[in-house]
Amino acid sequence: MTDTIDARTPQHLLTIDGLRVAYRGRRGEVRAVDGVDLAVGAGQVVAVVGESGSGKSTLAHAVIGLLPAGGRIDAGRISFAGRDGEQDLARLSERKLRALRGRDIGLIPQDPSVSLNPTTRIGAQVAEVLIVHGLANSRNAHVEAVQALADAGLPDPATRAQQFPHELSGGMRQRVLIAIAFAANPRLVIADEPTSALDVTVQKRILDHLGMLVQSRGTSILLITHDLGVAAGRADQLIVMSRGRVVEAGRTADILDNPQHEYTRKLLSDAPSMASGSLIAGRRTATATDTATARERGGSADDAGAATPVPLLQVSHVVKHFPLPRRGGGERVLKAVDDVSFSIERGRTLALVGESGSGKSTTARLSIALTAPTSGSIVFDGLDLVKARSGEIRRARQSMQIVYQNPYTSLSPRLTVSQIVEEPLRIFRVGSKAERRAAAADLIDQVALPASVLSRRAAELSGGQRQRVAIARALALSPSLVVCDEPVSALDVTVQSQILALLVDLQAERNLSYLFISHDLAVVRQIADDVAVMRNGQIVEAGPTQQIYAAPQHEYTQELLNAVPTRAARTTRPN
Amino acid sequence: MGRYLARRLAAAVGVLWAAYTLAFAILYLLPGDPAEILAAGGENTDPDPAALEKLRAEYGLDRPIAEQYWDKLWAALHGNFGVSVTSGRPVTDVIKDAAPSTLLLTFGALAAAIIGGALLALIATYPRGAGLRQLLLSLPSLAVSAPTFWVGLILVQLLSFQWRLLPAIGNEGWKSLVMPVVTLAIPVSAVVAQVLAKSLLTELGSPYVEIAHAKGVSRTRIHLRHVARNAAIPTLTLVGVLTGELLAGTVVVETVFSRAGIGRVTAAAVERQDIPVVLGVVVFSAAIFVVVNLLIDLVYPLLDPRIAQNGARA
Amino acid sequence: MTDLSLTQVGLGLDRDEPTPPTDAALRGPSRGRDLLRLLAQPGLVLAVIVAVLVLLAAFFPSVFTGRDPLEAVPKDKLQGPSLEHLFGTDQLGRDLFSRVVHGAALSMKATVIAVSLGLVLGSLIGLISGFFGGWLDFALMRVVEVVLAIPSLLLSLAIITALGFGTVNVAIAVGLASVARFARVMRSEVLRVRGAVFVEAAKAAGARWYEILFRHVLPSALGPATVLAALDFGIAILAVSALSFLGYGANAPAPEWGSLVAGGRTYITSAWWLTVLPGVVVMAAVLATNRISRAVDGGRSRS
Repeated sequence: MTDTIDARTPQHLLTIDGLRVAYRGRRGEVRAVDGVDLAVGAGQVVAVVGESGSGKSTLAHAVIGLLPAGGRIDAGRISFAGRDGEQDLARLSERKLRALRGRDIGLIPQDPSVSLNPTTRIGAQVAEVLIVHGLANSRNAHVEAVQALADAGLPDPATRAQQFPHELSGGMRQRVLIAIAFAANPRLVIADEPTSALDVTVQKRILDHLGMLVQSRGTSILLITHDLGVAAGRADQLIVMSRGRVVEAGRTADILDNPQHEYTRKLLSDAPSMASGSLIAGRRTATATDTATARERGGSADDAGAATPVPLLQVSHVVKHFPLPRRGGGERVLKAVDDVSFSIERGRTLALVGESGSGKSTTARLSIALTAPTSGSIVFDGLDLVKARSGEIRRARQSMQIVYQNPYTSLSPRLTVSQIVEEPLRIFRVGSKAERRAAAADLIDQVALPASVLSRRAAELSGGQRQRVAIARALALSPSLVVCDEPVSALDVTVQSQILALLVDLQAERNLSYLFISHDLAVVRQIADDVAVMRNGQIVEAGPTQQIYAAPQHEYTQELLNAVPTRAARTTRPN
Repeated sequence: MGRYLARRLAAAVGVLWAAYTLAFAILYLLPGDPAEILAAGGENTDPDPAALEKLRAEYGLDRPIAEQYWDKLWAALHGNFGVSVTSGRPVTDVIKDAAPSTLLLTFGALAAAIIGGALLALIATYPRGAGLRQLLLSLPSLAVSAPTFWVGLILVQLLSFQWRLLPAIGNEGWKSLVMPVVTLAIPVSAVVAQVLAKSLLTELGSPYVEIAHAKGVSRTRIHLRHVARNAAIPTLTLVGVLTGELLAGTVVVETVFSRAGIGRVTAAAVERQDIPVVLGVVVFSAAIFVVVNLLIDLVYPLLDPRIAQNGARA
Repeated sequence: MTDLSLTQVGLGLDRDEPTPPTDAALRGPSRGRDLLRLLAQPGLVLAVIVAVLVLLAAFFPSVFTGRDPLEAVPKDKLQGPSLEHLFGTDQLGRDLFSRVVHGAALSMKATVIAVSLGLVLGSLIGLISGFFGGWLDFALMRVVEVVLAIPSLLLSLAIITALGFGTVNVAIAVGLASVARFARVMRSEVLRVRGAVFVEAAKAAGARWYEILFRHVLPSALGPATVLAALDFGIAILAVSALSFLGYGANAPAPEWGSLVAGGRTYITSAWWLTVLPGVVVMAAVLATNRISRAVDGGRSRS
């Protein structure tokens, strides 16, 4: 299909030539898009891929004339063949642009949770696009809106149209936004990271539906994404951007099979995918007892104890309830963690995998006594953390540490890097002041940061650098267990792969155990010895990594694995 | 909805009781002998001990403070706030007589402040150029820095004596209301303008506005249809507090314009250290605050559907 | 007070400087550059000058005028502003400029007492409430809510009724009325910092509660309380002058800014300067402190 379109229609719907966009701030000018050319043919899906700061989002907003304050198009053409003929969007008046927006060009935004007006009914928000363009009057707009919602795959659209955004789930809201984007039957829809805020299973369903809409209506899509997997599975053409420039462009299959530019190659190799090799390959294979699922091990600690070394962390039948605000009569609780058992041995990594709300982060916090369980037992290195006195727990903290998801919030903005890394040593009064300083310098070196960062504040570092600082802090007291709560999900893929490699190296050097929390199955595959899949507060399946990925037993695990966007899965657009 | 209202109503009663208790604590527990204060009546004379004893007995000041509190609270629950020390009239009568003129002034100023502040905020946030916006938004900080009594006197000087447009003092007719209302409303309208402008700018920066732009909706429509309503919600929360401040402001404004009302009654009561009247005025103002907030709670769910369902403000 | 306790709700409102995302990365810790940037704002420079002048007047009135604020020269009464008498003279022939300059002492004294009282007491309550939580927090916050339900001017008036008149009593009344505001700001700051991930990280690293309190929570929470104190300065000036205008401040003939305006009321038709000029001084002082507090706030949120 792509081939025929490329051959038959030299006429493009959208052609961008030499586009330059700059932001003016107090500290001068920053060029976000620096001479970009691209073309979108009728009915094509063109994906723009890049990391944060690559200018891909600015590009999308320039097309629709909605650059943020301070942004300006300096040069270039954006010619668009809409219903009013060929026009240069870069030079169009606000008035004419407005006539195009919504009618000829739709936009699907990144974050559905905040992209709908919270105090207006769903139906009215969809109808508005039809009304302002005179495509419906106040009488039939509502019916049309319900139809648009149905087309977007929203179940029970008539009821939903009467509701407010907060009554809908994230996935449903994104369908509403798709309905808004497609309501006026535009020729081009710009999808700006349309699913990156959604769970992986929802993401797949939304993208599949989008693909179906495109096919049935012949709409062109400009898909902006950081996720090569998403782009690979859905796009005809791929455009790779870095630092405001296009580094490579062409047919998706060609680029994936034979990337020309060094950056594209790096992006491809860094992107965790189901095809990537394991970073811990070559480690001792699991013994016969180990292969018993983690749940069984947790349940029968006595038997396991006889055959295998005592696990470093043993979590048994742990339950955590959170009280919910009373509504109606009776107490209501949220069962965040509902009878979870697992264990981790020295030097090994257990990954807890699940979507948002599965209880994996709560489990992580329970494991190192940052919050107390409602019931169950947690034994760390022989100490029962549930029954232990606070002094004992405090001493145990020397050997159990945590690395958080977001390195922007987990480091104090007031302290220098050196002070941050020294803090655990200072708390436990390890060494003299000078010795602690030296230890911090040593740790910073171990996480491969230059010594010059020691005197700087965390706010001056990049995300990847900050996460390295957080890791250095976690290692300061030479712990035996480190809980990593989504340690790479806030980072770009190239940084992700560096941090993962660092974690694996440190594990080998220091015989660390990791409890690795993640939503990303591709990341987990690279780093974990064992995997436990969580859903609604329970572990639905657990076992050695290869086994889980090769032969998932539970239906939910299968669904999760299928939903991972991969290069191979070009299911929605058969050629 | 019924539960929502019942809870709000219970909270309102609680606030009234607590306000009474707080005022009682201030007036009877802070250093300073109530009997001496009552006897002195604002004069700097040393009352003789015998007269003090008599006063203590008369007002029950010789009994334990807890006992006095329960007795007075019980009486207050029956609408009896005691007798004014200076005039000898029941406190409730004093307040009842003075209330209408002051309430007219207060709510007139509230309306003026909301309309004026909202208009300024809406106009100031509309232009895309930062220059004009900054200029318009600097007006509130100017208005809020001027002493109310001074603004009132300047208005009197210009409008009454210079141009002879409005009467300088008194309660007669709507003309006498104009300057007090404006004087009282200026600082409050500045606050309304600041808060509303801030939430307007916050709302304008939120992603749903971008989606509205992407639909092809005009800026004016976005400003008035989408943003104004959502921005009004945080401002509405303030109205209760603002009404209270306006009511208290009448103490200054009624003094400046020599208008009869609660403000003047309060000023005189403080001057004479008329404890029962001051206590009554504090409870009166808490009552107004509570009533206004109850009304706001009724309006809230109409503006924000999220509250209608949860029955609680976020 | 209607005058200004209201500005607290609009704390730091006029900060409307969109910063491009890249700005954060470029941001350096250079204090020298910060100072230069502050000096580049003429409004702020003017505000600092006014504040310095007011403080100078409060402590060293003789720098500005050699005249006795109480000395009456009947033959010079009710004279308009001139080079001889910058602000004119009052009905007794006293020099108004000298009275305003000397009035700064009493007015500033009251303001400083009021702000310090509110800051110290309020921050302490907010800190205890936010850090320890539980029933103590619940009880303290209910009290704070009730205090906030009563207009601060009325609260001050009730306190004055109990304590009696005078500059110090006015200051205490204004200060106590602002305690609840400080408590609430401090508490929400403490809660915000206490819930921050880096504080949990300290706990995970084994820090004891007092180490968390003094190393992480307190330093981060003090910033906003300081900003509020700066803003509260303007509020307190207005509140003190309003109470002084109503006649609850220092006894005559000692000059205070509010009572000077009140004293000029009788001569409003014949001697405009008696009401207008002291008011202008009050307004200038309030504008100056507000501008400075906004700069403090902006500087804090930038660094």
